[in-house]
Amino acid sequence: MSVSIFSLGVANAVHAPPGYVTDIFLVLLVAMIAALALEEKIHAKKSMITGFFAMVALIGGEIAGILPRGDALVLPGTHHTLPVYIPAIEWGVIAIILGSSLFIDVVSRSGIFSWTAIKLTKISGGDPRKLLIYYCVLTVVFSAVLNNVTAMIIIGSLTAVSLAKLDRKDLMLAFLLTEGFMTNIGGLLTLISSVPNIILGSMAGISFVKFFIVSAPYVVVSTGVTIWLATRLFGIKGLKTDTERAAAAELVASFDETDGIESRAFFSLSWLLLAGFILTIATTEWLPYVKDLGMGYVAMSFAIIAMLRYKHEVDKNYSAIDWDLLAFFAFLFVVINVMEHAGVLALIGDGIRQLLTLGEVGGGLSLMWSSAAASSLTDNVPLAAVMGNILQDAHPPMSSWWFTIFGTNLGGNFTPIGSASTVVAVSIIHRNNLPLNFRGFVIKAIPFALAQLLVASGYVLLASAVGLI
Amino acid sequence: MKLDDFEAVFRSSVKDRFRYHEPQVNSISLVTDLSGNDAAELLGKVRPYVEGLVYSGLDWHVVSKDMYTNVPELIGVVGNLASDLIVTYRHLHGRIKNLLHSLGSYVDTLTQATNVPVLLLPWPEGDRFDANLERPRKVLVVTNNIQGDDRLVNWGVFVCPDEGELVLAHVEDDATYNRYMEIIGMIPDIDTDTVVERVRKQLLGRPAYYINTIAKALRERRQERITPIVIMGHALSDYKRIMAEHNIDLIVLNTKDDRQLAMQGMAYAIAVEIQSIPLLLL
Repeated sequence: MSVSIFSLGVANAVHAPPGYVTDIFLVLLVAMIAALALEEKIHAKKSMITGFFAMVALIGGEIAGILPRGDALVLPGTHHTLPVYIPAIEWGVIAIILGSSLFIDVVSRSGIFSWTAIKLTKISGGDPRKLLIYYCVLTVVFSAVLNNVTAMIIIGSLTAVSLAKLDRKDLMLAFLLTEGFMTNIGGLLTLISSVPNIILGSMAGISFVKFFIVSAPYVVVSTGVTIWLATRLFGIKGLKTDTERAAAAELVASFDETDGIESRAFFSLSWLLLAGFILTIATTEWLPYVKDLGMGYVAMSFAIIAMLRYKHEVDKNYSAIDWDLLAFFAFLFVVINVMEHAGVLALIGDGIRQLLTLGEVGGGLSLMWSSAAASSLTDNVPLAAVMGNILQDAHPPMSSWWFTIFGTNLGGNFTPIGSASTVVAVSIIHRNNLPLNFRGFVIKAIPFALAQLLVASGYVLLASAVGLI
Repeated sequence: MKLDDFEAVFRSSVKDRFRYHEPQVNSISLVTDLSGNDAAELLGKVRPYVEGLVYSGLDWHVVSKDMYTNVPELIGVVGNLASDLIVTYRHLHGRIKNLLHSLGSYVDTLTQATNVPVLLLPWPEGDRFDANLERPRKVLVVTNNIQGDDRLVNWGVFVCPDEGELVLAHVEDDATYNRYMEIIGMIPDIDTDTVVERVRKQLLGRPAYYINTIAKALRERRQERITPIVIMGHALSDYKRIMAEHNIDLIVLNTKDDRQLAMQGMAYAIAVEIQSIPLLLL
């Protein structure tokens, strides 16, 4: 995909702003990040927060005279101008998110995801340890193929129902927390598994296949480590006697995996569509014509093909879209664009460059752990956008990009507000009346997040040493 | 799809499955308002019928008129005998034998105060008493919520002969359904058409699935024909229609649930209105 998040601003840059202007906009950026971190406290949706700051940043930028003006699109004999906030938005990213959300929503209605999840539940025979392993692996796969929020919703809601059925509500907190941690591992598997991957991977010029080859070994190892930790720390044991196993198997047998399937034909078609979607996304960069249109085009095309099944009621698919998320990204891109012109990103970049002077290993590790710390407290999307822009200017070694990708994804596991999927995990926990506050989450999460980051540190260093990166 | 959507999908996927378990009957109490030879004569008529339903060679206790003088004493006597099945008849100790809208205070209390199934026979002095005690071929299990009710179905299976027909009728009360749908139609936030369609589908689909599991569970053990009836309608009139259409010989129904011990609502109406056929009241 083409990456031009800040291209207009760079191309038409005006004079460097005075220091006090940069300081004012820096305060604005910090205020926005703080507001996003306190989203739950201030009872405001993400899009409202970034929308408000985009509005203030744009008018502030105009008043300060830092925003570029000029023709944005010139065709022979024509003269067009676009407001700065239109090209400021990375529409390729928006198209990927919109298209894949629509596509996933439609194929979800075929029942393929619930069928898979229930089938695995039955295969586990109701054994808690097997159930944890299956659910964790499924969370990783779903996070990679869908997105981490949808994965958490599917597996989290099944966990609540299946453990209640098995009368093992005592394990529900452990399961939901572990699954929350797994979403951010699964989010590392492919270039489109998480938004930070899309932003950072694309800006670094990492292809879909390359991304998968590098990240897959880590995902496998980290999944194993996380499951092992969960069984140890939460005391999740397998069933011991035949009587226990028979009773549990009888209970899970009451799940009917075909219940959510309304049409067998569409169920089968959805498998084909999903396989086609993954295959096409993976090979976009090699497909003639399609490669120029990018992954956003692929996602939107598959969404439209899938929606043909519900062509008479597509409004229902549209209503399932997380418009708050899309608006959040759009406004965020605008804010970041203004910050670029205000010199805020350059200022932060100076600090990051200091880290890079520590060398490839020291600098990379510092980048990863500081990215993880930052993304544990606020959304990792703005962090990825800021970091990507700075790294693009700094031309660091490729390992720095990978350290940042791992850091921004895995940092979300430290706190309940660190990533959208952990927010979903906590909301499922609270819906089931399980006691867990911010501090309780952090205490339980630290061993997992530290272990995952330590494994990531060693892995990126090793991958870099053997020339994989 | 959102969290609620997937939770709904997974909750819906959990379905009750029938588990076959034969009820254990070792002793039976015949409760009568007769005594002496009359009671013995009644036992002679009733015993072959009941043993045709369950087993032969069981312990029989006759609770005759002279063993109790009022309802509490009867309950005490029956309790002490601790039988697995009580057999009695309509208008026990009733002065008005053709009372249409009551079972009589003795039977009323007997069905309420004990957890033991009661086989309620027609009035012995009625015209067709002997005819009604022929071995049943068609047994009707009636309820407004069959799913998960293994006990009810197992008793139905138990008293149905291998060569007979077991009619499993689940009748959802359409008056209640329509009332709720009418109210839902008044709430602007709810997509009424979807709710009407989906609720109906769930209400009828889940009992149908459960009955399907009954047929599967019994396929290798028993030979009786299973006839499922899952409909929306008016319970009493539909039960009467089903009875007539299938020439039912015996009806099995619940008289108690988790919320109430007393036989109220539809069970009482059925027991009172359907007088000519033996009823097994659980």
